[in-house]
Amino acid sequence: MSDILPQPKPTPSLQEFLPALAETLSQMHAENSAHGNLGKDIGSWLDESTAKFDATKFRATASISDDANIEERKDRDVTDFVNCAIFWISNKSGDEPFKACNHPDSNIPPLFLKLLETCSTPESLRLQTMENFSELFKAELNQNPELPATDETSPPTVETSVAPKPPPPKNPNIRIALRNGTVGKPYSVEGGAIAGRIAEARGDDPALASISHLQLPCDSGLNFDAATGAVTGTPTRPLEDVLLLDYAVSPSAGSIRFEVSLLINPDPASLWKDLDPSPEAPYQKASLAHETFNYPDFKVIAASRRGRSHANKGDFRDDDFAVGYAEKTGWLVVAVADGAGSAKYSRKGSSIACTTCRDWLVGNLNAPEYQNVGASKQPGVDGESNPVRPIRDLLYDAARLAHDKIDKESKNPSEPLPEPPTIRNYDTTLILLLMKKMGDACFAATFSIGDGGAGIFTSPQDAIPLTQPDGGEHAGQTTFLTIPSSLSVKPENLEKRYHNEVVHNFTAVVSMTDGITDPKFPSDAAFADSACWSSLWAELEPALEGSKSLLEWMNFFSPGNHDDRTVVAVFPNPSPTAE
Amino acid sequence: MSVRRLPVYLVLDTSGSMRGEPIQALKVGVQSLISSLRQDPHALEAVHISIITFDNKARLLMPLESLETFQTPLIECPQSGATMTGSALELLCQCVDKDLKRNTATEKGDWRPLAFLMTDGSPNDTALYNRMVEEVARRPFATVVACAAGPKAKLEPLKKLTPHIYNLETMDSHSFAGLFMWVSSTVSSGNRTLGASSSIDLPPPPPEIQIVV
Repeated sequence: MSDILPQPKPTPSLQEFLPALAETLSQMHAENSAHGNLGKDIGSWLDESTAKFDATKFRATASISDDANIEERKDRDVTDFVNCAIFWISNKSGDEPFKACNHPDSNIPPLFLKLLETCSTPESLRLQTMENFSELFKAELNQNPELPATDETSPPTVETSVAPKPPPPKNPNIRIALRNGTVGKPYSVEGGAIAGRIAEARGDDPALASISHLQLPCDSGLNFDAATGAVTGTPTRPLEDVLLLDYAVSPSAGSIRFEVSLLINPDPASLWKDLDPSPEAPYQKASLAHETFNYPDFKVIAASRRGRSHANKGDFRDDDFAVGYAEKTGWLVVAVADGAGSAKYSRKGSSIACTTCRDWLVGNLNAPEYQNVGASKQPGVDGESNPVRPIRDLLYDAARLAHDKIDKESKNPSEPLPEPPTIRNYDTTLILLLMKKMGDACFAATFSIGDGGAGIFTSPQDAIPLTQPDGGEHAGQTTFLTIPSSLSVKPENLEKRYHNEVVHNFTAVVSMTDGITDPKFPSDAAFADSACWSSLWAELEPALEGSKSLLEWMNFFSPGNHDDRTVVAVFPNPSPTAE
Repeated sequence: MSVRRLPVYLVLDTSGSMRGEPIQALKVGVQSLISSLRQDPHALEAVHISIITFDNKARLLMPLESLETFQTPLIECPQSGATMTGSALELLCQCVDKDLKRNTATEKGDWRPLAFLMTDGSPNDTALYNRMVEEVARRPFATVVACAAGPKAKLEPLKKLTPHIYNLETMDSHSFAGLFMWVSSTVSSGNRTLGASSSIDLPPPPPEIQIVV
């Protein structure tokens, strides 16, 4: 608090004295001068005969200083004015918090009291100017023209002698902000809402209050309807602005000018950048990959694209896929993997996982004993009569091998890395899919670790999920091939990871990373809901013309879902949807 | 379908010692944090911000609100007063328990929340503070970052709360701006796939911020 000691309450009534003092100070500041000496010797500011404030005498008591510290002196005037006013009104030193509600009978306009209360904290004081105080008084007088007349000592005060007519008053004490908007999204503030809120804050009658004018930037896409007071439109550009509006207490009253802030967010879709990863970084990977495979029994369309969240930061695509076919026995092998965004070399982890599993499974499944394994000989069931390793064990072994390969890479990296990595730097999910045609039926088996998933469309309307995604309590949590517990040989773990189906007809089998499943299946329950699958098919089918068109479809925009996306779709060959 | 939220809690010291330039600088810092996050497409879709201030008592200045609709509230501080950091953490835990959506069969949950504590002093409610440090550890925060601002900030209590402590030597607009720019990049990087057990890698802080080891 300031160290000045305000003088005793002046003899003229405060409701005359304060606005006159505020006005004169405001004028001095506008002339780029300041008083700088407030609080000393109030008697010398008064006209000796009338005991009223005398602006000329007041100006004469100003301290003399060069212009170098004029802003400082103006600020000091504001501080001193607030301290003096509080002292005069409350008859106390300014050290106690001043409360407007304690002085209802002071004949001082309530808004002025409210502003003093606000200003009794230094940080809000900083934002005040003498003009604000002066204007506030005038706003009150405009609203209550009878107020000066009720004053028994009421010859015209200094205030009326001041020329010229002041601009429409501002009310700095009420913060008004319109609700935020976003480019491209319809925006509206209903009619009467702005006037109502101001009236509420000021204690006016909301039914009578109105806004006669609101200055919106002309190319903002927003319009103000003066008849209803509504703001409507669709913002066309981002904005962070302070607008002016004219408020009227009642249809007959003059307008009061307020500042109102408005923020229009950019359209998130417009903010994504498409940055290339550094060409010097280890483990280079193309941002896009797509391929079509034609095998005797199956046609496979695969595509993988870097997500916006990775492109925005110049990160690599972390997803990967690999497709292979055991020609001697007719087994199709599909691997899809999603490297964790939080692991720095996960792009390599997913690539090792996919290629290792594909190569090892194709090599093993090409053996003649796998010719007849599948539907008729359920894996694990006829293990005794059949020396062939059950399919589930084969898939598990492939995943285990991939884990070990990644572990080896982390211990002995194939490319120079800035510092020794750990296996968790290669975190990746893995979805393995095996398919084999058996007479007029088809056998499909999956083994999955992590999120994403696979399903078999038995018709365009119906699908059977082939995987059970691993989810955690919170978004983005899952498990990885690189975490040993995911490869536990406990029956409950293996049962969760392995699924198989035999179908007589199928439209397609689709294996996807979470870049696709997150936006298309909004919950775990949705993953089991055939309605979600059939609407996915409705979108996917036209895109599955070829791998290139699939890649383009995968660029769809879904708020909050910008991860890498990979889809591998398998059709019976010749496929009714192909060509 | 609603977008998964990334809740971000700002826990800010508004005790008496923050009066004057520090509180002004803090306000500018918070404002610049909001503005810079609005330029990040990921954040604009997912980030939700809540502000808790504490002095004599902790108060929820701004309940969790999306960045898109967020309007920066008036941050004020009293004439003088104690630093009830423990109450602030208590309120933080209550808010997280109430706000946070977890994955269910029919609804996808939020990202794990982030919390930033900024203080220029040391807790006056030590017993409560120590108890609340344990409570915070039980909440699923992806990261808790503490910032000790100014010469009077005590580091020892903060070390119990989090390994991520940053020290601002001065409390002017420049250092707060640097701090909140960094908070912004931390928030941006939090909005990515997190492993079941891993915590996020924090981006390197700006040079004016000292890392406390």
